[in-house]
Amino acid sequence: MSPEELIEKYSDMAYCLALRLTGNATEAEDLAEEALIKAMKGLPGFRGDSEPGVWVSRIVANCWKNQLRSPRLAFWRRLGGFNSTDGEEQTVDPPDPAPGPELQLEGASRREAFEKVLNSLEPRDRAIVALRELDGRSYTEIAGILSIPEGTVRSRLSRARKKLRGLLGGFLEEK
Amino acid sequence: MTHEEIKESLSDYFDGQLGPAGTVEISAHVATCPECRAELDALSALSAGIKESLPAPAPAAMKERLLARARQENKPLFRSATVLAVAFAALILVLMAGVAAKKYMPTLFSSVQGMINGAASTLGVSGGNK
Repeated sequence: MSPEELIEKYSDMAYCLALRLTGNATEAEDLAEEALIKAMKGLPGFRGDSEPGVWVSRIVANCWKNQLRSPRLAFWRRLGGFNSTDGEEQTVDPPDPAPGPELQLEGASRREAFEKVLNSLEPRDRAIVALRELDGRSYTEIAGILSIPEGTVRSRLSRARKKLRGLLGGFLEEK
Repeated sequence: MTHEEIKESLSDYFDGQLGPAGTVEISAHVATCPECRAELDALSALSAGIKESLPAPAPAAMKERLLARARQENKPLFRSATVLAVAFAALILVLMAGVAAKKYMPTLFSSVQGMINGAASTLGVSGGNK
C-alpha cells in the first residue's frame, strides 16, 4: 500500500475515531493528522500482521493516549479515563457515574442527543463504543488497540451501553 | 444461565461475541422472553443511533495536507539523493586514485594517460594532459 492509498482509504476512519475519542473537531483533526503521518512513516515497516484498519486505529489510540498524558491535556486524566501508567488496567472499575447536570437533552435533535451522551462517556468507554459501533471491531481487536484486557472491553461496553440507554430514554424510539 | 445472567450477556450476544453454546442458549431464551427481546431491540436502536450520529468525513483541508505529504513520501527523493551521494563519492575516489597513481606509479599513470589520449584522438577530441 502506498502512502497515498493509506490516506485515501483510512483518513475518514481515523478522523471519525479521533472525533469520538476527543469529542472535539479541532483536537480530532490534530490527532488524526498526527496518527496518519505516523502511519505513513511506519508504512515500510508494516508487515500486515493485522488488518491495516486495526493498525491505523491502534496508532490513533496510541497518539490519543500520549496526548492524554501530555500536560496540555492533563485535565482529561481527571476525567478518569486511562491511568497515566502505560494504559494498564485499573484493578477496580469506578462506579457508573450518574449523568451530570450539564447533560441537557431537552430540545435537542436525535443526532445532537446521541452526540451529547456519547461525549458524556469516560474517554476510555467512548473509545470502546466508537471502535465497536463505528468501526465494527471485535472485542479482541479493541483490546489490542487500547492495550486493555478483553474482559474489560466486554464489561465496559456493556456498562456504557446501559448508561447511554438510560440517558437517551425516548430518543432511542425516535426515528 | 439464569434470566439475570442472560440479561447481562445480551451486549455480548448482540455483538456476536459469544461462543456457539452461549449463542444457542440465549437465542432460545430470547425467543420466549419479552423482556430480553425488548433489551435486544434497545441495543439495536442504540447501535443504529450511534451509527447515524457519524460525523462528516475527514476535513478536506486535512486530507489535502496529508495527500500532499503522501505524494512527497512517494517521491524517490531519498533514493535520488543516495545515488547522487554514491556517484559523488565514486568520482572523488577516482580522482584520488589518479593523484596517487601519478605520484607513486608514474609509469602506470603515463600509460593510462597515453591510452586516454589515444582514445580521445581516435574520437577526434584533443586530450587535456599531453
